[in-house]
Amino acid sequence: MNRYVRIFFKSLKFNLVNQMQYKFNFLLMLPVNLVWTMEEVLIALILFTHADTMMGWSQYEFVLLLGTYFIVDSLFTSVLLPNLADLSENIRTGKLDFYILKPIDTQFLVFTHRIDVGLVFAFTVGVVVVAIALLHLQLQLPAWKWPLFMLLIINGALCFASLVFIIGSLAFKTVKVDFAGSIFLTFAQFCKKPFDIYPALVRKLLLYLVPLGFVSYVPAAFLLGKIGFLWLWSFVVTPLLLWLSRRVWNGLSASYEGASS
Amino acid sequence: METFGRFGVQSEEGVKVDIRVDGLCKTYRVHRKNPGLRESVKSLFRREYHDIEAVKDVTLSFRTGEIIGFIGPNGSGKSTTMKMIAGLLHPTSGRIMVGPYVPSERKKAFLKNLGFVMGQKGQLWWDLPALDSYDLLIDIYECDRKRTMAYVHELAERLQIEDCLRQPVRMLSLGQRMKAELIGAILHKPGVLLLDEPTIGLDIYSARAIRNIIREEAAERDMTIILSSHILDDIQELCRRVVIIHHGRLVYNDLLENCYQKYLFQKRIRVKFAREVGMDELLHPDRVTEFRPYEVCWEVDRDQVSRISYEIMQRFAIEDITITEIPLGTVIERITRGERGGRDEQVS
Amino acid sequence: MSKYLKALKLSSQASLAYNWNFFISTLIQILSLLITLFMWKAVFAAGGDIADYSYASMIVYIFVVNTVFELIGTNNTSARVSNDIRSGALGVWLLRPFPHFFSLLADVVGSKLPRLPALLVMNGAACFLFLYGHGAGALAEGGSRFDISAASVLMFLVFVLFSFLWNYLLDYLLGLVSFRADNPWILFYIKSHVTAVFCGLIIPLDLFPSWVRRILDWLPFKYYVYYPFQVLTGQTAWPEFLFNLVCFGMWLTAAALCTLVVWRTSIGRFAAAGG
Repeated sequence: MNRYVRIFFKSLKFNLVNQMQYKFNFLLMLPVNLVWTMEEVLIALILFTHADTMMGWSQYEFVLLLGTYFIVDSLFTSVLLPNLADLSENIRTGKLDFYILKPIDTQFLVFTHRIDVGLVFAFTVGVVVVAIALLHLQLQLPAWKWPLFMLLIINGALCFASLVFIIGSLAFKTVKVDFAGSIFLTFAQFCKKPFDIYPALVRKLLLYLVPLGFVSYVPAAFLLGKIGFLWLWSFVVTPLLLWLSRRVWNGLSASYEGASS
Repeated sequence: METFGRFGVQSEEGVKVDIRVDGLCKTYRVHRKNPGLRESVKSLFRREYHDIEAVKDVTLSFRTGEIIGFIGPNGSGKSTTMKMIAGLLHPTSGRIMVGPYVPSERKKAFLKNLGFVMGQKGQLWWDLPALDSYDLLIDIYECDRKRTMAYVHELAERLQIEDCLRQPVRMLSLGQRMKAELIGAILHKPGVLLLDEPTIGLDIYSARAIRNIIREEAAERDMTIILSSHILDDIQELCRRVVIIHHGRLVYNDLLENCYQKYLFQKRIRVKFAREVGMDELLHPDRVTEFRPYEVCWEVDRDQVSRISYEIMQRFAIEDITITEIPLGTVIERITRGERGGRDEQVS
Repeated sequence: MSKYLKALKLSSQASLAYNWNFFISTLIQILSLLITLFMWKAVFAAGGDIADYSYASMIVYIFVVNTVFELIGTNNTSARVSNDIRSGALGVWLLRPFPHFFSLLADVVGSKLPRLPALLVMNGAACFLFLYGHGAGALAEGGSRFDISAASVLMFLVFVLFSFLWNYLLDYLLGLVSFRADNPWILFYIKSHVTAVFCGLIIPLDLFPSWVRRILDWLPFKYYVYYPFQVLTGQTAWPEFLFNLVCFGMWLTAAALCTLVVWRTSIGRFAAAGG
């Protein structure tokens, strides 16, 4: 276990060094993140100049949801998505062979090879947005809600991560998986809106079948006191999903045949 | 010291192993698509599959410390066989044992003892110096850091790329990169080393250097090495034993020198004449393989070589005469095609 | 010309070769659309109009705008150009008898064509459902506010073509930045996001605050999808149409010239990555 932690941090270090080489890109990480996050906030603000509530969510409650999503997103996108793109390429070129030949868990190696250091920026932006939203809302939140909120956020990240693993495993079956990025963008779009806007059937689907609801909706709604005890499910669904994603990965990666030479 | 029966002996550096392959088969399923736009649309809804037998019933065994050459045309199944020995592919049927391990189970101890060099692909991080990649490899393979780094630097010196290790890999020339990759593949001192086209595209100096290191390290560590290459210099310089795979089948499995002994009893005599020579003037016209006005090439039996060369030199004014073996490439081609040369043919 | 048609055909075949991709990318597009529709449905839940748009007319707007946006998308052209330059593959292109620019264009068009029918049908179906679900009047209402005629459709198609060319030019130009800066994917990212927001894809431009609209008036963002919508639904008269066409034409020409200049000056310095 120690070895895995060491390798993870070493990989993180190398990625940092690597990304700093491309000074142009590295310096622009914060502005880029701001572009992506502020565009959402902007849309929210414009929308709410024309309407007071969206299915029971006020303007800054909506912004809180966005901020929550940004935090969760920073935890997994930076670590998982670049590797997904690489995975697809490595399967195509046969370079995945090198990962498989190592005496260490392949899934771990694949998904920690690249780590986008910009996650620090993204995380900070998310926290700031949540803070601003809370300031506007002027809620009195009981102390016990905070640690649970943080746990739910970690859960949300793990939840989405499991989905990434499952879809990533599909890379073994189909030749091109460059739509994976688009799939996650779509997932993200679902997560950035309060689930109350979806009809009941869709909502159930998104909570229990493809558990996007636990990514950002549940943590935010929990904090705002909008859901009953649904948040408890988060701690059941996530481990289940993680286990499932591991099974899927093991199952599908066995069909990797490598590129012919 | 642990022992693994007759399959190998554990030592301080890497496990020395025997490799056994029994009745190995590998079949692929591919879908076939016919050309044209219409067919593309059809294939969206229904696909045709057919089976390809990449490897058919291959049986081999290698002893510890052997360097074996795998030869065969592209698509012959030799890469597939190598990958199955490495555990990258699961055999459709048959057994492989590398030491006490079954490769496809990918046990940690097996993987730690395995090295693989792939000539057309690299594992080193593109934008970072090779030393950083080695650093990570040391952690992954759980090697002793100090000793391994000392070994790395020693290898780098022998390969003359000591300075290159600190530059990002993308800035190295192909030769330097391959040398760095080689170091990366053997720094954990594996007992089994597989090489797939390690010198492809390299200049002669780099290729030589790489071959030397392989040879030296193999001798030093008693590594079992499987080398697959189209570059016959690799095979000739490194391998004592050679395996020829053609259409997925094992066609030849013997010492390299026996290729010549068993299959060809012939040598080539190439003569450059001082004046133009006509076809009708020639001796032994049935033995001529190449004919040009000033240059002719005969293929004659080994025991006839001195007599026939003498006759030619007596009869004609010659500028130059060369007597050579039939090139290895031609030998292999003939073996693959199932031709048999030599005495038996002569008699009939 | 025929060689481009051939390239187009091959590209269509290639895009169909990957079964899953074809179905899934259409699915993704439709999901995106659905989310936007749900959002608007929620906003309109309180009832009434929002700045000149009724629920029905908003749905129609979203349908048209999103479909056109998909149509004019360039399949990651910036990234492809950038990769070709960085990997040195561009060197191979320079030896060929047809320019890189046009080959890539043929390729993009070719890969889009097979998706067009599915796109129209699915998007249309989704929006139809939203209108239908809202009540009997919505369908009719959706149509009534707009004035679609043969002329407007024609004008619309012309504009969409211009829009596509503009998007392609811009993406190609951005890709050429790779001659100077290594791996400027951030530029592509910013461009695509800024475009998505300010072209009126999610919120119609007339809902933007007035000061933002005034700035946007000077920029070509509105031409992407918003203005074509106006044209299609008969909200513009001939003189206005021609004026905007000319303006857009000028933007196009400027972009084309830029591309030419950057290409000419950079290709000299182009050093293919070698061994």
